[in-house]
Amino acid sequence: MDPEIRAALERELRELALDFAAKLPARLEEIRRAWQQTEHAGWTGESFEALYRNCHSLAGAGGTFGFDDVGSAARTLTDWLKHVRDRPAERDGAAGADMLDQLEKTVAAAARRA
Amino acid sequence: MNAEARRMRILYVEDEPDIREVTRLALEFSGRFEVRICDSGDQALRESPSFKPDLILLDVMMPGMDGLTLMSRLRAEAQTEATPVVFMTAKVQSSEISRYLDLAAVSVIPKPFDPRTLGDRVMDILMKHHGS
Repeated sequence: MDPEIRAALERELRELALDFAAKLPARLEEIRRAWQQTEHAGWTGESFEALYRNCHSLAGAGGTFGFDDVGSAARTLTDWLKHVRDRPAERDGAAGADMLDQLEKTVAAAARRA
Repeated sequence: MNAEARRMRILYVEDEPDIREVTRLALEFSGRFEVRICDSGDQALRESPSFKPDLILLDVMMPGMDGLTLMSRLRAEAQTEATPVVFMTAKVQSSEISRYLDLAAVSVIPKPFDPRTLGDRVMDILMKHHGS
């Protein structure tokens, strides 16, 4: 790629990463809200699928924008949710809540870093 | 087909706005693609006949119609029945990747991905698919 085009791409990517970081707290809030609805609904149904989709989406997006730690924490939570969906009898809500707290700390650190 | 003779048309379907934007940027900056972006399977089904994509990039997990359902719907359309499909997904377990390939996707691009190399990656897939 031409160096000037490459530099322009890097500038655009930096802008997108800053925008992504600025929206992280709102995304986390959405995950928290979906979490509460899912707990209330018994970890099934539409709210569970929305929670899973939100976490899954953040797992993929985090690393793409250079926030590998956010992506990784979201991935851990996504894997836990998948396990809950596949084996509801083995659900350990406290473990899941810890993962959600960890994601929150990671998001806060990423937002500060950006 | 010589994949470099003209800009290749990519139909890209993704519900997540941030990922849509970074992917569009990555593909357009490579200078080799004309990108049509859709935020849902329904939009992709409406736009694909006139756009006539050379390759379709699909997110797997989307609300409403997911990527797998969309691929079978596109396969049932004359204009896109033979168009190569590539999935982009944060689900990267090997069993899932094998499943997508068994369903006739030509490749799977895992998320996260590096936007700096995405254009090369997509071009490689196209070249391999067309055997050039």
